[in-house]
Amino acid sequence: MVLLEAVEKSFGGRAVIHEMTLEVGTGERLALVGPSGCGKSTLLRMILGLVLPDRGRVHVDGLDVTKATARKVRRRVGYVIQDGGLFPHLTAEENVTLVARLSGQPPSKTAARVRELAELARLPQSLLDHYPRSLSGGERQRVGLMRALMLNPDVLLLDEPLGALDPIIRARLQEDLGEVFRVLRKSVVIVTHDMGEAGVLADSIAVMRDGKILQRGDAHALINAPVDPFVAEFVRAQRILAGDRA
Amino acid sequence: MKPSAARERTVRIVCVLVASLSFLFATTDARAAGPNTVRVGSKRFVESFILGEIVTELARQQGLDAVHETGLGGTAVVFRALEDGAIDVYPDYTGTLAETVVHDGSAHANLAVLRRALAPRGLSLSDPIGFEDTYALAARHDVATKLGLHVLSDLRMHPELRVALSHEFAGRSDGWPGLCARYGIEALTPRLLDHALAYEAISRGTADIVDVYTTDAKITRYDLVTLKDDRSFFPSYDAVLVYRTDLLQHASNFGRVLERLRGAINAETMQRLNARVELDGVPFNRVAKDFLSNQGTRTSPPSSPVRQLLVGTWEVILRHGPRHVMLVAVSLILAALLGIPLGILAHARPRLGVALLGVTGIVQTIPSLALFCFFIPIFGIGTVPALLALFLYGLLPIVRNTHAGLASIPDELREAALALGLSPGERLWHIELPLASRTVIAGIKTSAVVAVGSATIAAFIGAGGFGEPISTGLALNDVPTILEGALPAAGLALIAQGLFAILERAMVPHGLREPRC
Ligand SMILES: Nc1ncnc2c1ncn2[C@@H]1O[C@H](COP(=O)(O)OP(=O)(O)O)[C@@H](O)[C@H]1O
Ligand SMILES: [Mg+2]
Repeated sequence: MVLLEAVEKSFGGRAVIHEMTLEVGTGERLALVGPSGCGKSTLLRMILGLVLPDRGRVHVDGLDVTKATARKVRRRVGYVIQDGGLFPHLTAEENVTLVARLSGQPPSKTAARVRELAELARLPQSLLDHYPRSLSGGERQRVGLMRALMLNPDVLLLDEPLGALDPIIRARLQEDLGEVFRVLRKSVVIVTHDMGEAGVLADSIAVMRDGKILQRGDAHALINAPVDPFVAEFVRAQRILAGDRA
Repeated sequence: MKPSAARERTVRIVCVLVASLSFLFATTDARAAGPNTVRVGSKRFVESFILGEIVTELARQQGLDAVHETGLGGTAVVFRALEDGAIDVYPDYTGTLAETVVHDGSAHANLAVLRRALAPRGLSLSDPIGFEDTYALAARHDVATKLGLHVLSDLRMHPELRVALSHEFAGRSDGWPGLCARYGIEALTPRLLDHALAYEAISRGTADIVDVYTTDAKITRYDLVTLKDDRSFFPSYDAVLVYRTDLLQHASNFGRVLERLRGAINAETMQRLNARVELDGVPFNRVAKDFLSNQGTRTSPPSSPVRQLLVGTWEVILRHGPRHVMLVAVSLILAALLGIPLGILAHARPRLGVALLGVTGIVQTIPSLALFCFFIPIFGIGTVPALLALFLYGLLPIVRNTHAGLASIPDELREAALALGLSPGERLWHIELPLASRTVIAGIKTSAVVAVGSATIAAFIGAGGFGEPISTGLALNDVPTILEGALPAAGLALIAQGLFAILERAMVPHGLREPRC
């Protein structure tokens, strides 16, 4: 469970997150949408303690996220970024197992877990000993997802995980991600540009603008009952795009 | 499993290297460091080499363990080395000593005055060796004939003459400045050259007047006319040995060496010995041996120059190679052991980093000979100051590259490591250093190649290595001898390059290597 209570954050005197309160319950999946620069990534970073709020509190699984607890929190939260953030000097498997090995998990247990995750993320076993530079963008994202899931975290954060992929791979990975979310039932926050994607992958969607959440609800509610002209415009623009693509 | 395996391998490699090098260090240094060893110094010119070698040989004949530290440098360096106890004895001249010790070249100091001045410093003076080697100015024969030059006073009429002087002569008050004042020849403007090069200038016709020593073999070779000191400016320069008074306590037999040398070499003999080295190209240690076995004038049978160079180079490799490699390797390992952490620190604390990179950068700009000499008052001569100077030189490329390697890591990888909940140490050891490894190793490679070159200069302060034949060859103006040191040094630089290519294969993680076509 993730809870943000009246958090505020400014960078260089410019407010990036305005007094925001947000709850993502256990097993709940939330999609964050909004124009770029509106503070989506900053929000995820605050959950991980990579950015500490100027005011307000962040709780993850009942733990108050501070400088002191940040590392503990990070081990309970999986984080996937746009191009996977894989370490180029480690193979796919070494990327996935790094933290487990460093915390002294027995190799047999680690190996079994990797096989399980490869199946879940639909990564061919043969790719496990490849270095990131010889993997495709989609394969890298699958490895990134496996790495995030390795320690079986309660919370999964994904920052535009499909953003850099071409459409066919993107559609397939979207399907597989949806399947993973359904199977694992974790608290998920996924940042995306794509309303369609948000609708498929999440229970609820939060539309952000200038560091504020304008409206939160399911796709139906946003389309049929926008509370703000910006929400209506954003949803319409996304539907036109989706229509073009279809 | 791979990162920890790679780390273990790295640690093992470093341990083995350090262990084998400290062994090498210990064995190569044992040669020079026995407690009863007589350490003989000499200044960097032929006559001093020969005298130093004769003293060394005589000491050995008295059953003493003796080493000859050749080519330490000029009077200042060698005298300092004697005072600091880095050497026990060296040959010098009364006039030079008067200038150095009494700071008065005009005193025409006699032995008694000098002895009184040296005693409180724990130094003693031998009786004169038997010849005088005073300064003089000499003119090219054709110039002297054309202008009718015979005595120094004649120079006043000819301010257009081109004068080439050694640095030492130009600087000392009993040299050029005093001479100018005495003879009123300030209008002449001297160019400063290395002594050996001054003769080249004379033979090429680019200089008319040079400073010479009166026992100098080249006076005849280059057909020079010595100008008479008609206003008796130059003080007497009797050759003597200066030694540490305590030498006679720990090596009492050395007294016999002093006796044996009293009045043993007259000016004619000295000029002949000089000529054998400078004109016939016989090694000075051979000339010294021949002199002691009274076969002084025999010249060695000539052999083909290429063959001689190959044999000489091979001997230099065997004799000086291990020491050169030790100097480079030990200083390099120390530089890496300190430089990598400093680079990490410079990256972690940017403001401190600017200062660190600045300071190490400044060290780099100090000429290496100056840096070597800077340490002499503190550490004496020999291995320690050389290692220290080489170590300081090696630092900058390693600090800079470590810093640059860490700074070039993309932000998203840094964040990914943070987001995984890794500790600072884990991030450094498992993520950041491996990612920076290629750049770090490139920095160490640069340091290694620089150290191979700088270590040749270490010979000037008696640290040995390939620089020893180079400095000797420079003093003798003898190109083959210079090559005997320079070729192996160049070869070693190439070998270092090759070794680092191998090291790079072993240490840079697979995923970071350029994909091969
Ligand atoms: N570390 C930082 N320092 C200064 N400004 C930042 C920093 N991180 C984000 N910002 C600014 O905060 C705003 C929100 O950024 P971000 O959360 O990345 O937006 P989004 O992910 O929605 O595109 C942007 O204007 C960005 O420039
Ligand atoms: Mg973003």
